[in-house]
Amino acid sequence: MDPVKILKRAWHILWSYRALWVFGLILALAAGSASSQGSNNSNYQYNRNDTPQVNMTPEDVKEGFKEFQREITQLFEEGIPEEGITGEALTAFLWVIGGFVLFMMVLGIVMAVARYVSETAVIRMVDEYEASGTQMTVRQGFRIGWSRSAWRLFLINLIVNLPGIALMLVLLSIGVGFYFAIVNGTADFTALSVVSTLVLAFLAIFVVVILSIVLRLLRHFFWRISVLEDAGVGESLRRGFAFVLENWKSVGLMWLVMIGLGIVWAIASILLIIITIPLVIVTVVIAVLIAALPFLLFVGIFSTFLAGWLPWVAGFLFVAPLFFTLAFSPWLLLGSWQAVYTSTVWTLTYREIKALPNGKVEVQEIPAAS
Amino acid sequence: MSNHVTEWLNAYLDGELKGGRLHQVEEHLAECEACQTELESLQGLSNLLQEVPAAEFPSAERFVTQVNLLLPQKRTAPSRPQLFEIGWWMIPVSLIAVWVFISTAVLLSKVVSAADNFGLLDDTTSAWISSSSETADVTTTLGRVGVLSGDSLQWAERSESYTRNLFPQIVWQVAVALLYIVWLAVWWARRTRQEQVPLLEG
Repeated sequence: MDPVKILKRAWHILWSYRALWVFGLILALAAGSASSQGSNNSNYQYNRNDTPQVNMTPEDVKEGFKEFQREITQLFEEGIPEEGITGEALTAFLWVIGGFVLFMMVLGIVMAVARYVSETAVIRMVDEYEASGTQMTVRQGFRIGWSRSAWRLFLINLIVNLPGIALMLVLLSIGVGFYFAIVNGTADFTALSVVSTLVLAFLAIFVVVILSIVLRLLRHFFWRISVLEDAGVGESLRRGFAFVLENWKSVGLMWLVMIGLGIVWAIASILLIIITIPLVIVTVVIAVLIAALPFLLFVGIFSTFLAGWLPWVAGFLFVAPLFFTLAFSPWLLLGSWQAVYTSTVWTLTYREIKALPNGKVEVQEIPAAS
Repeated sequence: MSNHVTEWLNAYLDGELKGGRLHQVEEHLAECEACQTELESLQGLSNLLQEVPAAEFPSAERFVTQVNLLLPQKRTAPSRPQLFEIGWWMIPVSLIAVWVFISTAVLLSKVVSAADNFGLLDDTTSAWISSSSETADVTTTLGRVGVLSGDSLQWAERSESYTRNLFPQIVWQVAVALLYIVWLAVWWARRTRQEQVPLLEG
């Protein structure tokens, strides 16, 4: 297998097959929404010098929670008189927030469906292009993407993310344990217990992160076997694992190269983001003009039962997804290219390895005609 | 006499016949002279073959080696030491492992610092953690000298403390990324050179 040849071919496909960009945009949008919900990787480390040490006792914590409850109850009973906002308006605003959360959940589901349909479409379109040289339209892409394979990709992704989910649950349960230990006054954070907890937590996180990295690599092949060989979830996992095990040198090489390219892309994208700032200013203006009408419409509706600045905030919340998508569309396009390029590279890698003399893929037996 | 048992004689001689077939052949041989002669002939041939010394055939591996030596030889590049090759591929793998290791350590240190800030740790642990944390030494000194005071001193202290925490994290991440890119560049260059060598030779 020649990784350089694959990278060059994927680059050529990215620029010559524009229909893929549409699916790339959906993938970039879905990835953006997922990462904004997922990690908040602040590099800031708390320091004892930054803020005075609180030294709370369990009673302080209990009292703090009660105080917070009292303040919230008072806020919703009295409202914010100086801003002309009544308690009833605040309660209504809370309902609007609930509606917004529901709206975002529905949007999240729609985006998830669109994401897996797009993943399927990109894999099939690239495979078809390589096999026959024919380029599909966006409509054809959606048609081949909207299939059972898209659902399978979702299930495979869920399985791949299971170790991460398990780790989150374990850390959450430890956090809850700490919380109750503090509230009940049974907390005894001695040096030994802290160190042993830290060592265990470190090992757990380290192992799960490594496992997740390996599973994410395997996922490329699980997905391609599911889409291109029309295999079920279990079969894709089994055959994908066997495929990678049998061709671990080629797969490992491609993986290392792709990580390196990811770093290069991260640096390049910082430069591109800076370069495209003038363009983004233009798209922000366009987004303001387009989003203004629905924004005013929402503000008008919310003004019927909200007071003060609340209708403006509520209106902005509902228009924000549209506004940000339009405003930062140039940067979204960069993400789209990255998504399409990555998917294309792995599809070509799968095809290339499969074509190798020792690249064995189980071929399903064709049932004999009766 | 008809129904000769010629076809069974080899098997009879090797002791492979049993039951009814053996009985049939023995009965026939007792009466048929032609078959007796044929049996004696086979017996003689067998004895003759046993007397001839067995030919010495080379082993399969040796045979393959001999054939390979006779084939026209292709010029092969001198192979690199295997240890070097393994080490070469271990560079990016180690960099990834280092990155995961340090990221995990930084994440945990954040959690511990936050717990310490909220006073959840006892004095011993707290002292142990605070001994490893950075302090705003430069601005404190500037404050003592009288260069900074009041709000500006406080702001400078916070900035220094923040930078001291942030800077090492940026440095190690950039260092790992740069090392990885250097490895990738060298790999790419090696690959390109390997591709060009046959072209030049051709």
